[in-house]
Parts: sequence; structure tokens; C-alpha cells
Amino acid sequence: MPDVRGHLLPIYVLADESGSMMDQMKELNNGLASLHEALLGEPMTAAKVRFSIMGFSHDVVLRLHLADLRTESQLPALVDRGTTSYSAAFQALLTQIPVDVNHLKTQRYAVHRPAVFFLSDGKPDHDDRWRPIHQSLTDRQRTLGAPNIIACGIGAADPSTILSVATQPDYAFVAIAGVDIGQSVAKFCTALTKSVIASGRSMTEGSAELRFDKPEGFSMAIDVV
Amino acid sequence: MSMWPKERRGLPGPRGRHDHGGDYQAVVAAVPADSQVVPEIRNRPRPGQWDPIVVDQPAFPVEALPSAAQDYPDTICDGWATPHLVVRMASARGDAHRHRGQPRQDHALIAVHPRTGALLLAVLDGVSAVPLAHVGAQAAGRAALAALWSTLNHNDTVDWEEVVGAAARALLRHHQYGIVQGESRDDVERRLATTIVAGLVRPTPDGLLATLVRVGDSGAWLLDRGSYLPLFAAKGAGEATISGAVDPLPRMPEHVRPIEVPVPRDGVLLVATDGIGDPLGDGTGLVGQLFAEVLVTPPPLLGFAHAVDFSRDTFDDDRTLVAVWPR
Repeated sequence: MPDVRGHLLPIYVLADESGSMMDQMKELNNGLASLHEALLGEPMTAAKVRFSIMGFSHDVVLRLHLADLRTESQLPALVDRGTTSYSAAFQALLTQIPVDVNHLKTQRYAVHRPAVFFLSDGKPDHDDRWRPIHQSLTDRQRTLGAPNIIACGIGAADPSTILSVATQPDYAFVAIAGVDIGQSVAKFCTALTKSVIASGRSMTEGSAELRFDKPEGFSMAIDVV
Repeated sequence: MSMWPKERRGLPGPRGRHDHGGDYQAVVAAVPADSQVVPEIRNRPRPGQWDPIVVDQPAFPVEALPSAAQDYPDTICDGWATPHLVVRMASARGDAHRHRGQPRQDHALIAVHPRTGALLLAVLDGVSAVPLAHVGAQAAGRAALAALWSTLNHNDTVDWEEVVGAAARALLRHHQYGIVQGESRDDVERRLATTIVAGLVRPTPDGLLATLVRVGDSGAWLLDRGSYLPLFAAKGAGEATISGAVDPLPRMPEHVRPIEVPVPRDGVLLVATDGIGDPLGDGTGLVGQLFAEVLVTPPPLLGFAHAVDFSRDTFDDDRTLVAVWPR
């Protein structure tokens, strides 16, 4: 590789904005604001992350795009709306990620495999229509920057579906039944923040592992299926 | 100053309205405003200039915290000349470890073998994900150099498998952190893993001849008239995305294959950890330019270490470089 301007880890938060998330939006937006604040206190880690937020319902809105969180004053808010289309969500990633990886490489950055943090509280519309799209998205032979996906399900999310969304079994988590959903969202955001910092640091450590500890109040999806 | 123009800051608006998501249009990120500025090297090396040498965008400035580990100085440097060569070595703690008060996990050793006049060297990069990488790097380096020294005492042919094996055994048999009953080599790897490039540079009637072996992702180059010729396969060559995965000691490679290369009369042999190799890339950028300028002739020891400790955004790993000039 020619002159390398830096090593970057693209991170995408792919969050469910369907109407059923209405009561959770405040917790989710507060959690992302806390993540931002935590990254501002870790400028060396923040330097190595480019952060995107995608909200999905029946369609997808890219609310933050490849942001250097050191230079952001405030993160945009997610907004509850519409239904839950996993196919729209994964199609958007499949369309966006290769463009982003190419863009960063054109800017002479070396790019680590992108990381996606997926949060949903519902079952996907249209059953299994999302699966072939997800398969393309995560196919490292076909898709430039095919991401690692950490999937967290809350509320009505189906553990076996969440397990299928995650790119490996230990990346799939579901909130324990009966736990307050707002609290689950907050704990997801706490784990997300820790993961972003740990994953950014691990790039320095030569391992470039995507690290995510089970959020408090969650179970491994594989143990629930 | 924001890197991203305000009007494109992540608010492109809805892109599709179908549940297949097929109407989503990819958004091409705006080119950061600072990318229009031609990158340059600032605070270039010159007598009396001790501010960090800045390549393109500077790294976040950190105050180095003391390391909790004893006997692991922030930076070491060494250098001397023999009738046949001049050598400089520096190993500097990266900003990430300085910021967290962790020890330097890179290490390097150089020595000259009296009977043969050969330069012996070892460059090591302890794997940061393991807790005692700094211990492993030093132990493996000492063992590799001792094996080379011992071999050359008796003959001119080096058993490179034995040199690498000695470094691996130094980890497995470490008096404090080596393998204990019920453990496997993997357990030691999880404590002490390190990469290594070990080798020797021999004077011959035709000039210097370098022989190197490596385990892991450290690198070596010939710097010749401003161009960098990699002596080992480039890290992640041909991969769309980069990975930090590495196969370190005490894991032994299936085959230990040394490379042998003459050092051109006007060239410089470089051996470095990825703290140097990653920002260097193929050497055609600013970091390559910096070292091509600094290493035209052997710089003073502290000037060499100062250059190794250059500042560039996102590059905060430990850095180690050994440079060898023929005389």
C-alpha cells in the first residue's frame, strides 16, 4: 500500500426505528450521546474510528456518516417511525459499506473490516426475504468490507433470528425476558461504548479483534434458542 | 476544525421507501476539507529541533505516564561503527502505551560478533493482546542473539531453525512465566507472544551480506536511492481490508526459511516492527520520504530515535527500527 494516512475501523450502528421502539428512543439517543462523550475522552481511540448511524424501519435513513467523533458537536437523533424491514436494513448496508470502504481507501486510509452493531425489538416483516441479502452482505468473497455483525434483540425480537443476523454465535444477544426494555437499551449502549473503545484500542494492539461483552440483562441468543 | 463539511454531516435524508430496501442510494462521503491541503512533514529534523516531527496530521499529544513494569525504558537507542558497517537502533514506546502507562512491548538488540565481524540483530514486537508481551519480546530477543553468537563462535553456517527454536524455547521455559504442568504451548503464547526478525549482516569481499528470518509481521527493507525494496511479503498484501492477526512465537513456523540479500554499497538495510512498517507502507509517501532524508547518512543516535518517534494521526503503536549502512 502506498502512503498510509492512518488505520481506520468503520463502525455502523444499525438501529431499529420502527414504531414499537417509540418508548425506547430516548434511552437509545441518550446512550449514543454517552458513547460520543466517552469517545471524546479517548481521542486516540476516536481517531481510529469512523462512525455511522443508520436508522431502519420500512426504509433506512443514514443519520450519521463516517464521522470522526472528535469533530462532532452532537450526534443526530434516531426517530421512531414505520415497520421493521430487515431486508431494507441489510440492503442499505450492502449498498453503503463497499462505497465507504472504497472512499476511505481512496483517501489513503488502511481500513479494518467494518463492524455493525444491530439492535432490533421486533420480528422482520416479510419473513425470510432478508436472508439472501444478509448472506451477500456477509460474504467476504463477494462484498468489499463484508462486516462483522453484533446483533442484539430486545422486546419481541426472536432469538433464532438474532442468532442468524450475527456473524458468529458469540456476537448474538437477547434481552432476558421480563427485564425493562428501556434498561436493556441503556445496557446495550453501555456495552456498545465499551466495545467501540476496546475495538479501537485493539487495532493498536495488533489483534484488531471486534470485542463485545454481553450487555447486562442480556443472554447469549444461542442459549435461548 | 471539523474534517467534514457541515452540510454533509450525516444528514442525507431518507433514501428509499420500499420494504425491500432496494431503493437505498449509497451516499458518498464528502472529501474532508483538510484533504485538500497537501500533506507535508513539519518540524523537520535539524540541529536543535526536538519538537515531534509531524507527518501530515499530528497524533493527539500525550503526556507519557511511567510504566508499571521495571526495566522497560520508554526509549532505547544504540549505535556504533565497525570497519565494515555503521548501525543505528531505536525502540520507542508508542503513544498508546505512553498514554496508558504501559511498557514498551517492542524491543531490539544489536551486537557485533568478534571472530566474524558480523552484526547480529533481533527486532521484536510483543503481541499487545497478551499481558506479558514486553517480557516475551526481551526473552526471545536475548535467546535469538545468544544462539547466533554461540553458533558463530564455532562455524560460519547458521542453523536458522535452531535460532528461531531457541527464541521459542526461551518463552516456553521462561523461569517465571513459562509452561507449567498441565499447560500447552498456547497458554504460554497467551502470556508471552512476540514476533521476531533475527539475522546477521556479514562482511564479505563483495560487501555486506544480510541473512534474516522472521516469525510474525515485522519487516525488512533495502532503502536504495530513495526506494524501499521489501525483503519479506508485505503485511496484508492484496487484502481489501487489513487485519492484525499474526502467528507469533512460541509458535514455530512449519519451515524456517532465511532470506539472504546483499546490501548495496549506497543502500541501507532496514529492519522494523509494524509500528514503522504500517505508516511506511510501500515507502512512496511522506514517512518514506522522511526516512529517505534522515538516513542518507547515519544520523546521531538521538536524532535517529527522534525520527523514529515521529507523530502522525492514528499511528500510536510502539516503533522499532534498525538501520545498517555499509562502509
